[in-house]
Amino acid sequence: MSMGQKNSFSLRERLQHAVQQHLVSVSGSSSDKPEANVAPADLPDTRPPLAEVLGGEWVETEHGPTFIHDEEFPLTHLHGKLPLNALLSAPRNGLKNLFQSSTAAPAHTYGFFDIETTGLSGGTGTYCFLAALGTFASTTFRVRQYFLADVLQERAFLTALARDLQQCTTLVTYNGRCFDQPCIETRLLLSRLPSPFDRPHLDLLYPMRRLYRDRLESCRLGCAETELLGFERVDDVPGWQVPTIYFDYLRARRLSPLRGVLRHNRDDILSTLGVLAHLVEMLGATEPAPDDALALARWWEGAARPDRACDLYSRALPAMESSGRWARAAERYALLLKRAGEREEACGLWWRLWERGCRPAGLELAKHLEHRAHEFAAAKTIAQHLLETAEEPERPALAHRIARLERKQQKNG
Amino acid sequence: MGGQPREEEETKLLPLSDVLDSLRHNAELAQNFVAWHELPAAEARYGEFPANFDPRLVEALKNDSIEKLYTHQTDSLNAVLNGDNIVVVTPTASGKTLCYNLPVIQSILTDPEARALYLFPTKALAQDQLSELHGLVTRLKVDIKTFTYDGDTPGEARRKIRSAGHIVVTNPDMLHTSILPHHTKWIKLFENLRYIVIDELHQYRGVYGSHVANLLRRLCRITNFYRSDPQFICCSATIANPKELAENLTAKPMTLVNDNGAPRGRKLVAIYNPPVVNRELGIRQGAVEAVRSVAATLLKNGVQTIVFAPSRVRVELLLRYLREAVPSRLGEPPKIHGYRGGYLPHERRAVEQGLRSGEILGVVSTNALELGIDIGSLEAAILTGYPGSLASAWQQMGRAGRRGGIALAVIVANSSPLNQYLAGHPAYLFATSPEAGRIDPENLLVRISHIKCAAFELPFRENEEFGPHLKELLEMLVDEQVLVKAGEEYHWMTESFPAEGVSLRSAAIDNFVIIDKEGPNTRVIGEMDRVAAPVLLHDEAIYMHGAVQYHVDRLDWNEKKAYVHKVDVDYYTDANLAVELDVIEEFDQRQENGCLVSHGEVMVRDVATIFKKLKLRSNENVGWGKINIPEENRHTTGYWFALQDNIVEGQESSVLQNGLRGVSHLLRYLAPIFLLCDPRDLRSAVRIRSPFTKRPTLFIYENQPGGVGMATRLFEMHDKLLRAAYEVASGCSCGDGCPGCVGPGIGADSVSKEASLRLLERLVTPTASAVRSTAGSSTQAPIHDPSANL
Repeated sequence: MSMGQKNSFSLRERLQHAVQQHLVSVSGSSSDKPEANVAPADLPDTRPPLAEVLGGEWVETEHGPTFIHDEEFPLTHLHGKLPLNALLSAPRNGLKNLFQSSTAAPAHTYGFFDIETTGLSGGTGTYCFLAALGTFASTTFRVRQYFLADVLQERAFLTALARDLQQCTTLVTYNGRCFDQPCIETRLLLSRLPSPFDRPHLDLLYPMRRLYRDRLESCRLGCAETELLGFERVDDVPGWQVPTIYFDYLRARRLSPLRGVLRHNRDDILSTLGVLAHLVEMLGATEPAPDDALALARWWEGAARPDRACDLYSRALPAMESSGRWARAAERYALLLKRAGEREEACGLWWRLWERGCRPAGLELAKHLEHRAHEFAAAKTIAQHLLETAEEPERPALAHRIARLERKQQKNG
Repeated sequence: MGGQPREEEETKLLPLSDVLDSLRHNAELAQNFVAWHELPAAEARYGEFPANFDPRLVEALKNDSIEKLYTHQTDSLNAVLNGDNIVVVTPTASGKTLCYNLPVIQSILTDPEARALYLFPTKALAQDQLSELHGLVTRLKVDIKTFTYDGDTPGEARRKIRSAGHIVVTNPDMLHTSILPHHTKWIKLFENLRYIVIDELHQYRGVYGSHVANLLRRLCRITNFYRSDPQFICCSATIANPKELAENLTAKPMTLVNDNGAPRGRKLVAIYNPPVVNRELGIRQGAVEAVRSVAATLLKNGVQTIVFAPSRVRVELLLRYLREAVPSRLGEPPKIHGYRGGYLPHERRAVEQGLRSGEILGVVSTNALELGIDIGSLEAAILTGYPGSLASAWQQMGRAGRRGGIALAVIVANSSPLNQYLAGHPAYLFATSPEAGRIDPENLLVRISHIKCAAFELPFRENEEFGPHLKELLEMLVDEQVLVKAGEEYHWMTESFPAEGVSLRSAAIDNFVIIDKEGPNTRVIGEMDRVAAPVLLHDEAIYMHGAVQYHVDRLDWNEKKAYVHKVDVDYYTDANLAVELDVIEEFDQRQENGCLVSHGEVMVRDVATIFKKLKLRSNENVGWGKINIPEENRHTTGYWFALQDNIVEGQESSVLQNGLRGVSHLLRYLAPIFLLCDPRDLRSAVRIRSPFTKRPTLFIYENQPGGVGMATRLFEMHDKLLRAAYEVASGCSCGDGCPGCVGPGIGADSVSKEASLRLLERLVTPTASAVRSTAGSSTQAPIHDPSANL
């Protein structure tokens, strides 16, 4: 056994051993690899029959061919419960309020944009392999999809995409600021192409969060489309499977699962459009439902318009009294009233909140009773109630307050 | 109240030369100095400013009282302006930073778009460098933006640094996980990158260095993509092969700048061996105790002194002892401070500043101050024990050095064999060249990790320069479905982010914070790395920080927090970390000359189970407690051989153990030469009866979690390794063993050269049962001078 041992490992064997050992130790198991039915080397080197399987066509750009898939929908097409033209007939005011600007371009010039990538980690090794751009034509809504059929065609793919993005006045995305835009910008830079992101970009995730944070389980697009638009996807490809399907296409030329990815990507565009229509409708409504009104009140608070917020609170709160959202909204409203100098009304709310056990309201009352109303005994009762159930960090301040109230009582009494 | 009024005595301070005289003539101490060695003074030698040097820069230097440049600074400047990549090797405090700051700033003054990237091994060094740069830039009154970019940089600032920073100061880990994988965000930097500055080059050796070498190749691919061709400016402490190391790291030809023009004062280097306190048992006074006496003598006379201690606990103990021995006057702030990892940045800055200004008289530090942090030059340096490598010893002793005056450096030996050898053979310190920095950028596992990271950053072309057999490796990664081949290019095509799975360092870098909950505000008093936390921050530990004692009330392992409160007790705690080694899987084994050689996966467990309470000063054991902390398991690869009966027979187990220990010492220092790694990358263990092999067994295992294939290579070269070991040990002229062969045969846990030699002889002599030819068939690698490679 001992003879010639040291040369018994061929380079190939050592490489194999090293690579495998490394793959196991670093990336955990390698069992979730996509199944390659055909070894890539055995494939004839021809253009894959994408048009036959997916529909669509090859398009020439100055940087070579790329694959494009168009789908047209009549404007009356229902996505969930909303027709695609709902946005075009939504109140103009709603758009202005959403953009918080009076110069918003008309909605039919927008481009709705979403991409699919080979991973979520970001960085230069994450490729965008599918992009969708939805735009309005006179009687239709067109979803154009750009597919990276071969990594060597990336410049053509990006050129076609960027050219069409440049036709839109405004880009509308869902989480595009942190994901889609940086990803495409990185790809463009690596291909040394100019960026089309020099125009307004409305990322609906942010207004969605502000208006629905309290009301939806999550503010992801999948949740928003079900809850707000009543849209249910059929045979949807879950997002986590998307990269694997693309890798499978690249390595084993499996084309048919791509249909599901294209459908998923298209539905993202239709839902983004629907969510925008819904938000514009809500922000433009003259008589919003009480539930919406509370959310809108916070929206205006955030937009430094306490007058509008107060108006919405005062109209919506009475109808919401039995709802779980009443207390938090009332607390915010009382704070706005206090700042506006409407102390009587604020006090009314604090008392009702205090009856429901709201500690901050109790503290506000104690302050009001001490410093404004000079009702030291009542203030002390509240402070003592607060102290009984106080957490450690609050205790010294409350004890101090009670002592001061006692001094004031003695002085006055 | 009677008696003498306790006036503050006006102590008479002696200059160092007088203190030295008294040390040499002090009956108690003098006899323990086993060696004195004098390094002569040297005059400053100056060079000229280059002809086209920016006058504003000359002016700014003059405002900082720099009228002329030293020769090595001029040499650096000229070489860099000539387009060379350089590596500068000069001692501590010789004005090394100007060697890179001058060309960098000069080029930014000429072209405001020019950019530079500085790499430092630690955040603290980066911070230090930044403050020095700020000073120079402020004096220049020019808008040059310098930033550090590390894990603590807030998100908002990052955007600004990417686009506007002229000089970005960062560390290899940030470059690896954050900058390179997102290089498109750094387009401004990469398109205009002129200089890459690598300070503390000698830190990048062994496996860590192999990683950094690959990281730098990745960096060069990126700068190539942005069509910039930056020059490298490297600085290193004194090592045997700076030029070679720099060239291996950067893969660029280097010009060596080592003609140090900075002036040096006279310096005395001494070795102090503590006296024997128990003659029957041969026990010497502890090194900490001895350092206390020597350092106190110096400090009492106002000699500015740095004391290096081997651990954080020793730093705190010595700090406490020295403050007691040399108290500051009533109402005045302490004049002696501690310095180590775990102190908060502002505390460290204050100590550095105080040392430079002279307000701080003494500092007790771990090797944290061995690196190039600017603390000026002190009068004396005392090392608590030989730090284990010549390069470290000279770095630490280099902290002492005064222009025009005299300086003192003392190594106080501890009881380990290596230290006792040094005390017996002082010439070893003065006559041996420092260690070489070795790396193996071609290590397969290391390289594959970085090929993956590099492919993520930019697609590979098969004819690219990235080490041997690139195409084969890329094809392999295609087969493994990591890459996709398109035309002549290889593209990253999986979901993962490869840099996350590749750690450049073997040690975890996450930190524990230490929180004082008492008083009105809870506050963070310090931090601690994951490795040290179980030993220093377990429940009931006495954690010392700046000589103040804290009791650890609770260590929250998951949250990485230790809650403490201040106490004043007369003991400290010391926990021992036991290392246990288990074989998990044997990959392969074979019979060879009387032993069974194997390699496989091993699990190393660092277990802290018990701590002792030790009385301050007397070290008397006054109690103990249990430590309940989850075990830290590290899986790595190891190589081992178990001795067969014919090797063992007739040897007592204690003799056998001493012999095996000697062989293990020798192999641990020889293996890095063959593997092109650093001794710290390997560890060894001797088991007189291993539970796995059931026989006397010697293990050598990798320090890096998972290993990088070195154990497999040791398994392959077992025979060659043992032959080399035998050749070195039998050829070494020492009597009882020395650091260059089986290790010193003196002191605690010593070895037996005789037993080691006998073992090796049997292991390399073919036995009747093994079939092999001996006649001239064994090819033997030339053996380097072992002591030079220690």
